[in-house]
Amino acid sequence: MSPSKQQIAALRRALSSDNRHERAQAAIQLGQNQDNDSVARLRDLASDPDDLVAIAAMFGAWQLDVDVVTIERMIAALSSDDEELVQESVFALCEMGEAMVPRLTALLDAHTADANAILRVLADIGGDKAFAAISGFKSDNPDIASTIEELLDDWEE
Amino acid sequence: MPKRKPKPTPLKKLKSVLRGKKPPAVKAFTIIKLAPKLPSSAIMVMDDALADADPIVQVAIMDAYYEMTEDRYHQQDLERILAKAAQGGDASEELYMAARLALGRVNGLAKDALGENYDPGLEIVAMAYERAMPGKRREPEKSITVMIHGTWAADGEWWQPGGDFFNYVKNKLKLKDLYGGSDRFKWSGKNRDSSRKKAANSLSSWLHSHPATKINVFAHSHGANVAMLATHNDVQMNKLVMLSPPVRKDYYAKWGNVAEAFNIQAEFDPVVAIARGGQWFKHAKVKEKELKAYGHSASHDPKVWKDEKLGKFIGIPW
Repeated sequence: MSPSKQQIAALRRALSSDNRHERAQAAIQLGQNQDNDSVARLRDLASDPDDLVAIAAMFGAWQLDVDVVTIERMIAALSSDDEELVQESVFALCEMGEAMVPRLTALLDAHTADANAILRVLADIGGDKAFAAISGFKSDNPDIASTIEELLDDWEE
Repeated sequence: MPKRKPKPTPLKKLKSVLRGKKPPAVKAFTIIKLAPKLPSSAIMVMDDALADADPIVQVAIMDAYYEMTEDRYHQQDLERILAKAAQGGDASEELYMAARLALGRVNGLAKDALGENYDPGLEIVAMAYERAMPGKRREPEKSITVMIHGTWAADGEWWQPGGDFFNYVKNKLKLKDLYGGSDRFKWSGKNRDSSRKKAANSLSSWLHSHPATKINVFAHSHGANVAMLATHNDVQMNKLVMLSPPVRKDYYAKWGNVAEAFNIQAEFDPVVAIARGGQWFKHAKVKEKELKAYGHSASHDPKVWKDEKLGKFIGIPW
């Protein structure tokens, strides 16, 4: 059932809530409900200092075909001690899917971010491009080499 | 289309297992499965790993050594491990059984004591050893409570012994049967439907090897979906406490196999929103509660449980 105008209005107001979880959830739901009038606000929130809100806004905007994704920020979130932030970023990256693989591959090749995290999320995204990125990545680091071997061993279509 | 790499050799798999972070019982079982296929060069690899390995992995290495060489070199080491396991402690029963059987082989008991009776589908070494020793099956406990983590949370602290929520459930909710052995159930945490189905099968095997008359489960996020899927393998659950699950019909439990189910959700949960799940079952079998607290981790926060009297909600004492 489509949301009512009042529900959409409430979600738009929630983007300014003091409650970070409310802001984040509203950003996601406005994207899911295809509210194009929220694009400007989502662009702003994608730079929010709070990672939970920023990633939610990146995902919300993505659903409206607006790309304000900062891949480095999403990958950094995967290494956070905050389990909720890790899970938000994993789910968002997986939902954005194969479109993220080139960016993740470039980040991997730049050796500037957590390679283990990038490799794991590539495996969760799946598909031939992700497989190629993982199997093509070379590292002298035994921990990373072990991750690659494990991910390829467990590879499922 | 890129050419797929050939499957790793048994020696490569052995090295990967020894380096990796899987639970000791899973490592041990993998080593035993690999042993008949390992080249002699694997002996040096195993020797290097022996000193720092968990005791049950040490037993597996020593057993693999005997499998490969029929040399009783590690007999005294196995006797030492057996004696220590007999003193008791966490996971000591499995270690005792494993060491006893390995020692039996080294001392010349039935050569096929292990090999013929493996079930390759199992991931818990104790079960493999139990089947090789008819009549020695673990007696069922009266009840068992199991904690199941969610996506990418296998290494999290909260659900493991010493973790805040684990301690809360054990000590404040007084669920003394909350399982905390070194072979506690853990799954890959991968964000794929196939991984969750695989985890459900593993959970079924794990519960089979830890028999109990009543099974209670606390499961967070997609861990709850793993638990529900396990009921399709005829796992009978007494209490299923689901903490912020992304609710999807394709993961629904076989409800006839669940005596009581609970769903605890935060008021705002962006993670569930992204995970293509709803928050509510609206099913006659599931008692549901919306927290005043926010966020995906609120449902396993001891302070939230205390403040919002969630123990009472799930009917504690059980």
